[in-house]
Amino acid sequence: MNKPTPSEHDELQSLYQRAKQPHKMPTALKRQLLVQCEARDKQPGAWRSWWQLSQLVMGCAAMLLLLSWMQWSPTADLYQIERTASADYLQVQYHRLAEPRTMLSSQVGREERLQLLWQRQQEQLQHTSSIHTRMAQLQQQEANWQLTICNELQMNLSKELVAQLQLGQSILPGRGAQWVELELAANGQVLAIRATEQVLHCPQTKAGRLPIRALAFAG
Amino acid sequence: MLSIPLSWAGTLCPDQLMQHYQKTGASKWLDGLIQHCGDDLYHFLLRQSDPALAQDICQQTWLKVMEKRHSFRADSRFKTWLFSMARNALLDELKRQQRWLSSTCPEQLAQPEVECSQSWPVARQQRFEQALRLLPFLQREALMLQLEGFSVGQIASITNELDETVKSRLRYARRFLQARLGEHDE
Repeated sequence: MNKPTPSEHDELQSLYQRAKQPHKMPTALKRQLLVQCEARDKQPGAWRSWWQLSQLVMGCAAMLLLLSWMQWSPTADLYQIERTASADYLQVQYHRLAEPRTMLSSQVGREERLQLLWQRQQEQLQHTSSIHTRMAQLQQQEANWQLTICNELQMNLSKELVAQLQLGQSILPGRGAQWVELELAANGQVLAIRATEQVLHCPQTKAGRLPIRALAFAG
Repeated sequence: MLSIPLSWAGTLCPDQLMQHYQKTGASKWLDGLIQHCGDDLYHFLLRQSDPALAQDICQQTWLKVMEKRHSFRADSRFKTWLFSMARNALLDELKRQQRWLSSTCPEQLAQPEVECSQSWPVARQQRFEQALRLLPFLQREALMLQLEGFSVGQIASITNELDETVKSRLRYARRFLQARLGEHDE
């Protein structure tokens, strides 16, 4: 019974087709649908160009994002140097590390982020910056360190920066004033501090006073 | 203004027409599709509802064809897709109007009995149409879809039923029709 005999099926088929004859889709409805279709087809803005426009906008946004990412490096302003003048030194500098940006996962702790960015920055500097050395006198003031180069420059290093710096083994925390060799990047950034046996001889100033204020606590 | 009918539309099957329409969105391809399937769909909906609702659902369905032309899968049959959308829309509307699976409509029952004075073919045609109207909704649906040329598998796909369920409905529908047609032959 599932499959009707051919004659049964043929008869039902012909009866059904005849039953359909008087019930055709109204012509007005056909026309209306075609008009609607043509209207969609001709709409210049329509969804097609909207789609293309949105694709273009998204493409531009992605390009801008990429460019800004290339321009902006999370390590770029990690190391901050604030420069001021003083009566005793030609220049006084305050070196500190800025708050690490949150480009890295927030699940990574602040200290870890800082260390990671610091390493990245050091690697970049090794490749891009000319490095030079200077003699200086180091004075440890609790956690903050002060470096002086005659009366030319005083550098104050923050505790966090000291923690990241490459320190020679002979530089021990809490030790008094000592002569050190600084490894400096072209932008003035301190890269490393090593103890040295050499002593820096500063030229006399016009006023005749001792050039290195640090000598006061050296002796 | 509108190019109806298109001479070449008859040479392409609905699936080919749909592929062209899918790519271009041009009305000439939709025109071809309506020429091919429009009457069949309208008649199917009319038998399952009333003229106003049939027109409404028919329009909705063709608008969906325009809107969803990109979601049509090239490996499926256009007419199956079309009837499937129409059937879903019809059921939604009947449920909304609380007419879903109510027994046959009163206006259908009010159809005049076949007059004995009519010629045999005309009387048989009328008996067929009357019997078709008296069939339960789901059986009539299965039978009409089969008479539209859909296979059991395609009917199952359109109605979201198992093949066995469709076969059962077809069996009951045919038995009912044969009985109605046969009893007057005796």
